[in-house]
Amino acid sequence: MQDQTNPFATKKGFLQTKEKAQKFLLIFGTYSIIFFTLFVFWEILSKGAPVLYQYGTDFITRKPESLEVLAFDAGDKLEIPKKSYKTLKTYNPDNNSLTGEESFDKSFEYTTFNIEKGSVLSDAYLSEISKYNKVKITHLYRDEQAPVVFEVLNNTPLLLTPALYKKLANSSEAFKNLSATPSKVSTNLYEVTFKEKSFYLQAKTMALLADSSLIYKLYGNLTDTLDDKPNELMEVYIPENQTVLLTEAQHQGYLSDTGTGKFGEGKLQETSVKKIALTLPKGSYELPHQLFSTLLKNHPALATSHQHSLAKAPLYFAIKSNQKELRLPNSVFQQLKKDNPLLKLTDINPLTISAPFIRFNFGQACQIKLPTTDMSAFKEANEGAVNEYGQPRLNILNEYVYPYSSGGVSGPVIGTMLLVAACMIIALFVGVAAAVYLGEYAKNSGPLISTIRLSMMNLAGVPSIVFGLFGLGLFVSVAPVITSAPSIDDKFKFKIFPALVEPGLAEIEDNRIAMIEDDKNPRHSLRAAQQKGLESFYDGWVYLSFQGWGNSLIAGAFTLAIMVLPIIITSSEESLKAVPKGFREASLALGATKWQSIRTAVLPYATPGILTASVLGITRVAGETAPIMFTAAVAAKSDLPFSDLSGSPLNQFFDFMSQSVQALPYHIYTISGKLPPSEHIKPMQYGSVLVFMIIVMIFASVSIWLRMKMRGKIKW
Amino acid sequence: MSKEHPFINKKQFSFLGLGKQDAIKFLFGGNALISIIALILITLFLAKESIYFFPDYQSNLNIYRKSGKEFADYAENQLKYQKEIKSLVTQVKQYELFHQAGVDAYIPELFSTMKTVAIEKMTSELLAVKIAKNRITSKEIIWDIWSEGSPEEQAQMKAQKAEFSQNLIKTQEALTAKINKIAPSIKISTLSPQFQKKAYEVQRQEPSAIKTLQEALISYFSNYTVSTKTPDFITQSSRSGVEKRTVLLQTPLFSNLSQVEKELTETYLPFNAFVEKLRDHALLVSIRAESFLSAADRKKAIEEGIPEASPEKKKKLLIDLKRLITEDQDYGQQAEVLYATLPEHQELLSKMTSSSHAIFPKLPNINEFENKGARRIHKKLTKLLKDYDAFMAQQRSNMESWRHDQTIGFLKTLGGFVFGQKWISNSSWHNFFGLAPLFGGSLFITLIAITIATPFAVGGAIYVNRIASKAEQNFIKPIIEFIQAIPSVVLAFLGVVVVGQNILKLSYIPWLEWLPGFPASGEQMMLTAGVLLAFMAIPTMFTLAEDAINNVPKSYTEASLSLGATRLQTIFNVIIPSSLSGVVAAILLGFGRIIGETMVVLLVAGGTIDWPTTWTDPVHTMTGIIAQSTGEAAPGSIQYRALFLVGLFLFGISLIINSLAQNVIKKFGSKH
Repeated sequence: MQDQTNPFATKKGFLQTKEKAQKFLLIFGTYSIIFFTLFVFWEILSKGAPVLYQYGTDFITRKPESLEVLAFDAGDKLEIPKKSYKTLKTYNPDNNSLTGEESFDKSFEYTTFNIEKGSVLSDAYLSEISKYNKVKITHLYRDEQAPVVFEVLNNTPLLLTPALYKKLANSSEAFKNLSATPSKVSTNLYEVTFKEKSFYLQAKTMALLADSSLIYKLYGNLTDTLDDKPNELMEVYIPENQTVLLTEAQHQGYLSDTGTGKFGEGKLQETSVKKIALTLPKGSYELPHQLFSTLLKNHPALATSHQHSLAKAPLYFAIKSNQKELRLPNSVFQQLKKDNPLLKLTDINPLTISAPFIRFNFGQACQIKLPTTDMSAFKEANEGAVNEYGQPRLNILNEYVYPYSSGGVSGPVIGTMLLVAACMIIALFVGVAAAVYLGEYAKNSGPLISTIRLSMMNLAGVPSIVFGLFGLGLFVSVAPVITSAPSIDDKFKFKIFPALVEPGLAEIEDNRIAMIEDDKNPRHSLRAAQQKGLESFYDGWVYLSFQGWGNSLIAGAFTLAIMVLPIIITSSEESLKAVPKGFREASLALGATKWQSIRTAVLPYATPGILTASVLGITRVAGETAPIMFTAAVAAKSDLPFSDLSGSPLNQFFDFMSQSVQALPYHIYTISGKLPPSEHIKPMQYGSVLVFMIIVMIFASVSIWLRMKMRGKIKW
Repeated sequence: MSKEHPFINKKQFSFLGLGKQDAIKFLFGGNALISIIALILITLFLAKESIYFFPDYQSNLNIYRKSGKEFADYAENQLKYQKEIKSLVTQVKQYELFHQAGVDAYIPELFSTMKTVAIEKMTSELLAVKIAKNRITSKEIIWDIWSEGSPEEQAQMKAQKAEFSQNLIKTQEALTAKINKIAPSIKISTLSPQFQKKAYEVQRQEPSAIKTLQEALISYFSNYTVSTKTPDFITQSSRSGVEKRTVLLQTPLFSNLSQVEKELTETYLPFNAFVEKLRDHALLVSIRAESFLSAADRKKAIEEGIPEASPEKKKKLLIDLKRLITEDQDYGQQAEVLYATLPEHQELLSKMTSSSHAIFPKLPNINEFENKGARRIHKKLTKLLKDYDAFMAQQRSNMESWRHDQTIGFLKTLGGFVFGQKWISNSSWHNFFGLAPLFGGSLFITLIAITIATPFAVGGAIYVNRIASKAEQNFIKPIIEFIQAIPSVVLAFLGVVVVGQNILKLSYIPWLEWLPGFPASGEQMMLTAGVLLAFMAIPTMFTLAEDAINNVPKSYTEASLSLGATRLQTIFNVIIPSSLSGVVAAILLGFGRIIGETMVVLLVAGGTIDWPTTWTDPVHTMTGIIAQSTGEAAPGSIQYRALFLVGLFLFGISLIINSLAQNVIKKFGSKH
């Protein structure tokens, strides 16, 4: 027996080393987490901060743009708008070939005018006016017969059908005076006999034969095959012997097909058509819009200059503007005036406007980087400028475009903020109400309450991508909408009450609304409209239509709100519980009703806690990508969400909520996951990530700080 | 004094016997129900889309069988097996060849890659050089004329020549300065991924190689205006690399391998043609079947359109109606064609196998290879050879027992989804929706992440709660809370730009080579995703584990300490066992959080739909495929429904894990 040794002292040496090792491992584990966290923050900060420093506030205020990299030879006296010059300096900080900057005012000639009532214009001219002026244009109605003017650039021989010629001569003196000679034009048709057989033809041949009257059974999907491999052979079965007339092109295609089992050449059948030949001399012509578009459709080779739309007739319109008079650059104005004979103008005055520009030289050949908008301003300012030798001043050697590699993150930041705000409004309303019920009204146990708690717990564990799918299935695809122009698709919908106002012309055209007049067979009219490619219809009723909200701000906000609900409810309930019972009892004892005591004695004291909950919720919501991927976010959007709204305030609100938005997390996913890596996109990646982290970390710090403050507070 | 009693109010508003107070109560109660409603709606809407998946997929699988694609695929599998053997032989040869030839083989390639990187960084300077040179060449003819002309012209020529060459020298100086500045920054990590692997290989064999290459770059560009000749040692090494390889190819090992490679290719050529024939036939039959199926919908649409159409359109629609495929083909007749090929298949197959068996013994033994990669592939190859006969016989017997008219039932469809090894959409052959590889990817990534995260999170919790001082706690806890706030897309981004590269670099460290799967084949792999997800799960697990440790009653600690145990003994023998349920719940909830995470796996897991074999393989995951394909899939298509079914599956997993965690806490947690 070895009792002499102290039982506590024997293995002390070993124990100490073992414990030291254990302790070291624990410390090592803990501090590796800290180290990795700091590494993450440092990586983002050290690479993102220089980007923000270089681009400055522009990074926050500009929207994402493509980057154009332009290489050009040395040149002098190049001009650029002052604003873009600043951008040039930020994007090319170490370009030292730029010399001799001087600022000057470049003047542009404008014309000011007013438009009288009853004027008629084509759409493109209207958009020119709204590009240079702040105006509100109401579309009244279109007139197919309104005269339009166009310019023919070359003497062109035409072959017209007698009917068309007659119409042209009737409506225009200029056409009447042209010398017209009747002539015959022959078209070739080929008679081909097909026998009952199965054989193979190329997809492109089948696309040609689809327009003939040949009856065949084609196996496979023609449109898909045509897109991918037009030369692919497809199986065709001719069910019966038949003789078909093919046009020249069809016959040619059929003969040149590489497939098997053809029936030889067809018999030529010549048919001739009477036509009228004339030569249209260079010059200006005036025609009713309908005739003009028919003429152009039949003679695509006719070279003309105009901006009339061929599909849409000129428009009677009402124009409203805060400006005293409208203005346009001289050249645009001249064209506008010349092309639209029914335009009534008053108060035409010239106007000179000058803008600050910078003139500079590039001492040697170099390469500059600029966002697309600035680059096109630069190119436009130097377009056509030549130096003393007659060479263009801006001699472009080559150019590259890198998508999403310049500009900033304004659109995504605003989109994220809107999503968070809309989501928090929904989530706080529902969440706080639920917490009040659970904390104040409900008994502590019972099947209902335990089910609610259980489902909350489960809801908190659902993966975010599942919320995304759910949002796509419910809010995007089947959520109810009250509208007078429901979707034309077979979605569940029913009439509620008669509509008060018909949609305006602009709305009908933009939203592709079919106007259903007769009620005899609405199903057939709908089907016909659908075949024309229209998307919604109006028949004098307001519908409750389960057509979904589409990829929209509101769908995303609801999806996020449901996701964040458990967090809000749990923490709100906790802060309600923290309010001492005495407060409620005192209030009730004074005769207040239950609701009064909740409103005056409980909620005010729970507000700080609820605030903490909402900040916590914001942190979670702002960072999520998966739920908004298919419900709200888009990669590219040209406008900020506020622009391009019209109509009544309520209408504007609905339009605003039903548009898709850019969002910062989705933007980061796009630029780092979907695009090929390049040197130029790196700054954008790190900059966007840093901005995102700053936003999220501000909320996170506030929430952590608030929670610490709450903990430290004196308990009631 | 008012007569009214102050507490008896006027008659309150009421409706259906419910007063204002009740209305308020029910308003709140209604909101409280929303979480139940949301859960029900999620189930409903996921189920609504996914329910229809099964009939669709059943008909899809039935076409696969009826058309004979299944039959053709058995033969195709045999062919693929044979081709795989041949390609592995080629790979073994390449790996070993480049290993034995040494780093020289990669040097020229690396140099030109580095040159490309440098050129990208010096575009302005190179452009200036180019233009300066152009100016000189465009003037040379005039100078020639002037040099024989008047003295003035000669003077002008001299002046211009001096100016232009001065200009050229200046541009060269700028270029030299720039290359000196940027050359050190052209490191392995800046090269494109496919070259990184080679670069690490080179660096491992010759640590100073990259530095030498950087110097070569400097010397190349410092002399750029005079000559653009590739540095001597590069051409030298290129030549010597080729020479070495030519010599090596003559050695018995490699000549043997080349011979095997060549003979193997010859074995399957007739069989290949046979399989092509089978596939063409089956594809044709399946296209007919699909066209027949889709004709019913088209017919309805055309018939509804006819009454409203204009006369011209009506005529066209009537023709279209006649063109519809109204009769289904005779599948039995088509299948007869396939059944008839069985003897031919038997003959070709036995020819292929017998000639292969003659070749296999010629393969060199594994001990003859030096390279680790070659050995790894050789092992794979040996396994394939071992299973060769069994596999071929299996597929053959499948073909013999194949019957076109055995329809696939619901259970088989379900099995085809859950255990299916392929997830293929938009295929020109056949679309399959099998969950297994995606589930495998998700599961293995989660396991890797949990394995990494658990020691750190639990260790951290123990340290912070039991050992750390108050000040340390106040420093560590907020930082860990901050991790929770880092958005997943940011971590995914870091995975793409930093973490993936570093793990790849790590996998090339020589003394780590014994680890399975090292060196890795690319940045995007399970390990990268696992590391990032572990980091992501740490805060959740840390907080829960710390709570559990914190809840251990003080008396336990005191009792243990009074018995003479040290603090760490107390922690490991008393506190951890008694807080084990909380720790297990923490791990479970961490598991739930990781398996549902999307952005990280979407960006860094690799996106290869295959069952993983080692932890450095690229994979695809359930969340990843939903995020990637849902936007492209047409609503109502079979792919769209399959994605919703995957979502439902994920939803189910999360519910199970949640309730499991709750149960663990409930059952074992309330002991104290």
